[in-house]
Amino acid sequence: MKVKIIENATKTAVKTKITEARIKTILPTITDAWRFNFRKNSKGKNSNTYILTANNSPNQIEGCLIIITENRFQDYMAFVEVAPHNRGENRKHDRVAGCLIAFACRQSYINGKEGYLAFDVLEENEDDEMKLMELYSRKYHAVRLGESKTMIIIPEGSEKLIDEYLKF
Amino acid sequence: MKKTEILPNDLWNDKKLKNINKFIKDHSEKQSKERKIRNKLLSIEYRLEDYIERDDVEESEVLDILDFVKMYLKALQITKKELAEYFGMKDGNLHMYLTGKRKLNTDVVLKISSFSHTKPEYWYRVQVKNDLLKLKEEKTKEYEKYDYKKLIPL
Repeated sequence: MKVKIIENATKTAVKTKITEARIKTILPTITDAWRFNFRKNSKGKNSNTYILTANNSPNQIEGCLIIITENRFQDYMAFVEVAPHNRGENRKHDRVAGCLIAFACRQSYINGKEGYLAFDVLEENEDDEMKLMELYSRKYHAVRLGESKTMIIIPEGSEKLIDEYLKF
Repeated sequence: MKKTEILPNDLWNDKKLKNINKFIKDHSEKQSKERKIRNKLLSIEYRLEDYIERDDVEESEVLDILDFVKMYLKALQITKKELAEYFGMKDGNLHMYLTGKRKLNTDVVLKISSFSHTKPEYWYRVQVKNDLLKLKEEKTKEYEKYDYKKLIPL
């Protein structure tokens, strides 16, 4: 699907698309300075892998997402990550993560799960986890499941995210 | 930062899944009727958008306007006959439009779009997409003679 991200330096919109990874797609892995091994984890049962690429540089992956669709009530966002060059203060693009998460919410609707999307927040220390959970709550309308590290985006939040990131 | 690989098994187990399912099931049941219907309509709308955007639709995957309208009818629990009545049309007449036997006109498109809360252009695009898919299969070659390079001496 066609989406737009923002080039940080110029604050201009960049035309991109989110597509399902094909067998021949070379997915990122930890040796490419990514945190997750998408190459290996994309082979999981009932998991779908998607990549976000800019139209003018289709061979460079800007962000990657793996969704597990086997659960009856919700889709599970197992892995989502932006490319190393889209991290930090000097990042090349903005909105990559938002577009991928909104896309996962949209898939949940399509898959008949009413927009419910679950995911876990795992960091090496608890402070970082708390900060990240707060960010997901504020920016991506996620709610924390009790005192756990699991967060859930409910239908209203999903719809808002889709409108914000995919209809831009 | 230390690079630690996170594996699916680190994230997922039956107990956790049970808790998530319970939360979502309870939450889902508490949603208003209007919200539940909206969830279903959004699901159809996104499928409709994807169908229009996809450029690799196979013959076996072709969906008529009727197929999408049926999804809306199911979500809203009404029959096609009832819809025809709401539209002030005969069931047979509406059926012709929905199956592509009669070309969509603005009146029908605006009725369907208003009924389903979708953009009118979506319905025209489904019609055009399906027409082109049929044409591709049948006789694309016949139209090659209309290439400007073959028609106009340059």
